[in-house]
Amino acid sequence: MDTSSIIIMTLVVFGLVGFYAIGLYFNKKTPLPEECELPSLKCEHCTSVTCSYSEKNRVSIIKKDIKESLKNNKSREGALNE
Amino acid sequence: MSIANLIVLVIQGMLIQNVILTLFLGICPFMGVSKKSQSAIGMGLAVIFVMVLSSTITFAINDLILEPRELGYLQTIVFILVISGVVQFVEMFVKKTAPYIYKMLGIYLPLITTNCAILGLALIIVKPELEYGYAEMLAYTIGTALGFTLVIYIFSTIRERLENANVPKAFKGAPIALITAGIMSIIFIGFAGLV
Repeated sequence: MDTSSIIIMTLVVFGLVGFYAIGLYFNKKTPLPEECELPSLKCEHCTSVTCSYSEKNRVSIIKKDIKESLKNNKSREGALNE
Repeated sequence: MSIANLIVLVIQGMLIQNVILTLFLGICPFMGVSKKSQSAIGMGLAVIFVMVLSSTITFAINDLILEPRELGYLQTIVFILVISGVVQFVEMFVKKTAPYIYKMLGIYLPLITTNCAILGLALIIVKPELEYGYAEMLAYTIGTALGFTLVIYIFSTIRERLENANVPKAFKGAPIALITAGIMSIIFIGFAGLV
């Protein structure tokens, strides 16, 4: 195998990994369209447990949100009492 | 290549070499997303969209970069990365420009990344013995994508009817679905002498 083939091979693989990473980043940044129903409502057909849309993962995210809002509320109450 | 030959390739991809029932690829969405006909259509449309786009890109990469440099052994990893990347960009594009289509396809788009029918087709069309050009590749890909949608829709309508049918308790659910899929596969093997 010559050097140029190795360089092209590396460029192709890393280029495509970069292509995927950029796509993933911009896709995550793009907000969901308005009036779009929660995707998890359609998850009844899917058995994936690792998908970010799955009910279990969504529950953990909601729990995190609740904990954060409770913390914020406590700190606000503390500030008001003072 | 004449238009008649292209039509033959579409029929070949759709019926004779059906990706699900003859090549046995994409069985996961076939069993998983066929409980309701509405979701089957959604999955089918998403597969048509991504299959045509990703197959065109992978074929071009193979034709212009991999084959001339004798890097054919990279096909699998390159094709997987292309499919995953294309799915991300398609999802983002649809989210921004067509909220209605996103509502319809939204959940099915990420699932396609792990659909082996897409990767399987990308690997089949680059086989050197087939000697496909761009037109033939496109015709065969469109036929395959239509065949996937057709079969998953037919199967979903049968499953909807099976929900209300008087099926023995031991066969309810997955067992009767697998038996149905087997019978459908035998029917589709019968198309072998069509062209």
